[in-house]
Amino acid sequence: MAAIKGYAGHQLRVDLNHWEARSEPIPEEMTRKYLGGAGYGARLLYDELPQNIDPLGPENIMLLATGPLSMSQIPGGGSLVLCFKSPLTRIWGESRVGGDVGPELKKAGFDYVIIKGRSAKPVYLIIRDGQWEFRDASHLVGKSVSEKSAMLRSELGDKRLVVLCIGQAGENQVKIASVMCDDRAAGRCGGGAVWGSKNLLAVAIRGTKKVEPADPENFKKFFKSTHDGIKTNPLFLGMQAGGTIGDMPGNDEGGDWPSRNWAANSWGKGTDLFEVYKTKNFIKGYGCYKGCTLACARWVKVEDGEFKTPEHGGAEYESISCFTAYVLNENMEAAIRSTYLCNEYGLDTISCGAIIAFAMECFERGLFSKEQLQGLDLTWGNAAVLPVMVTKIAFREGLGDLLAEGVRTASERIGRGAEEFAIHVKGLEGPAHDPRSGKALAITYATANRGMCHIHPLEGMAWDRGKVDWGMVKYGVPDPNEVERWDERNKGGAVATLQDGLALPEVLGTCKFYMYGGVTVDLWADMLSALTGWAIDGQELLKISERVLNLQRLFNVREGITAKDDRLPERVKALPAFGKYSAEEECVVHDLDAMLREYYQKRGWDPNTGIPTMEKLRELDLA
Amino acid sequence: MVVHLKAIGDLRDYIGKEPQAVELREGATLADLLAAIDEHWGKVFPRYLWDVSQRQFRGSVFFLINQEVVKDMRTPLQDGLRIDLLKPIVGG
Repeated sequence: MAAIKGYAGHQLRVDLNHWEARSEPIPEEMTRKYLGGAGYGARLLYDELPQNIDPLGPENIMLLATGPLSMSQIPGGGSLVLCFKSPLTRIWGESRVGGDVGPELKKAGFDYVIIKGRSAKPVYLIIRDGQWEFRDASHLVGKSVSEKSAMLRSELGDKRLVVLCIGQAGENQVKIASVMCDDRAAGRCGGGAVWGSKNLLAVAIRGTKKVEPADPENFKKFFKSTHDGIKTNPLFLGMQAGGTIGDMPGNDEGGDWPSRNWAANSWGKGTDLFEVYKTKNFIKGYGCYKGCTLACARWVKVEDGEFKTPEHGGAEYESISCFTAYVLNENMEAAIRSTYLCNEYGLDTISCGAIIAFAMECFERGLFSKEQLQGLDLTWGNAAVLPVMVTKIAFREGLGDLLAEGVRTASERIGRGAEEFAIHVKGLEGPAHDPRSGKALAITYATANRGMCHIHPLEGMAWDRGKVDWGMVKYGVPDPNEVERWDERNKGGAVATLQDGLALPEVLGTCKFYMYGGVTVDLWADMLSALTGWAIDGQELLKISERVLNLQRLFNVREGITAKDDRLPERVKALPAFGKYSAEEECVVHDLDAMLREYYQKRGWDPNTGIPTMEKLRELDLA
Repeated sequence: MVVHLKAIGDLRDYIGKEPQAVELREGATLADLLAAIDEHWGKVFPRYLWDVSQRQFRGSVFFLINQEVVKDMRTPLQDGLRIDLLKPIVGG
């Protein structure tokens, strides 16, 4: 079979039971229909994962998936998607990591690594230019992410080795454990626990192969013109200047800052916290992969004091928000220390902050015994307890063992009304954006395939509050400048189309922030056409994305998800209990059902069950 | 002369949803517009957005003319010109 232009052309099937692997060509038809990344993952997992398997059992698949555009010269090309059945939610698990790992894997000769089984002892995998090797990883057990990475670079004699690994949290199969590439995280859904269950501690990658585009001249022309075009885009400039945390005060003011375990959508401390970060902790911005021009990552430190923290990549908006507003912590340095520890132990900062917030509310309500607390003071705003709780969760110590199961399971075990303030959708804890700031987010939270996610595929409030259109108006999405953020009508259809557009980075293998900076679906299509030689346009890309999202939905339906699960916790919809919007009735999410009815109609799903109809599946070539 | 200032996104909460007619001297520049913004709305903007002592925006707030970011405050303006004011929302 002729190689597919623009792809490495091979996938590595790994059997950890026997420390064996085989390289095989990637299937051409599947590649054309699903492209790569989470698209390829949807097809592979749907076909090869039986229903109802134990996510922490050997049958689970851990897919490492590049996309065709996972190349460092492409705007946003530093990207790798992990697909697996999530141990946290028991449904579709997907998380994306930036950094060099995606491009490096492709240069090493593989578009995908498909990992099955369980190793009898700790193992790591080396992949170099089409070759692979399994090695004993016993000496890496108990080491942090940065320790593992340094040890592997040293023992393999290669400072430029790209290392994907878990920390202690993954080894302990903490359900919110992440997989890390240095300071970049495949954070959500508990992929790190899947690695830990397989005894897989690291994958070390080095590649020097080149991937040749079908049309080198146009390929270079498109990515150069795209780079040049986005350099002056205001969202690009804003992100470059401030990083993701740059508008934390604005989100607080705008009612987009869930506070005190979602009791409110604004706290009023965002400006002061940000000032501390800017004057005392921020060092510089940097790009997370070679060739990144957006450079939104932040290099930070805490110089001294109780929360002294070495220089590291961190202080992302979500991470810091979940360790400040969520828990009413006014100490920025405690938040930086805590999120640094999350990175070192390999924990999802969002879920970790959310779980601690939940625990603080349990404490407030007297739901923990003295034996459980063992002297812990989980009063709202207690900064000192935050890094302590991060460590307890990572090592499953004391109360940390219960919280390590995620907020849904923890609340079920605690009982006594705890489930009412366990904020999640389908088992995934909510991030730091609030649908009471822009109600399109209510639909995206309720329907996202991995659970309560603001970014896979869509940040709904970025459209109706932030007025970002991502070039999607030409595809029928209303101009956001004509849309009121607190309106609930006529948003369901728009959200469906926007989801199709904004899922593309996870399928193509690129960073979504570049779409905020001006890279459109049509530009992706141009680049992909020049790379592969396929004549592909924006419309076809959207159809592929729609296919992918529907297949992920089918995966979830097979695991038992229906319309009854497309819900938001009552607190997330309610009038804020305090803050700037506590008297603002308009911000309340009044009728999510009506919004979802519009959404299901646009999606072509059964209005009662939320299941894709046979007609829709045939249209998408899924039946 | 009169220019039309259109706030986008959150800035509409402070400047208004509709374009605002701002009267400036003939031959005014973007710097003059900024001074007029201070005069009209400087006391309304929240602290994180506006530096009262410097009379300018904090952080990333951009003037756009014909959808292009314009940073040079000496840029001359014309009567009837529409200028967009955008503060990108960031998060993710």
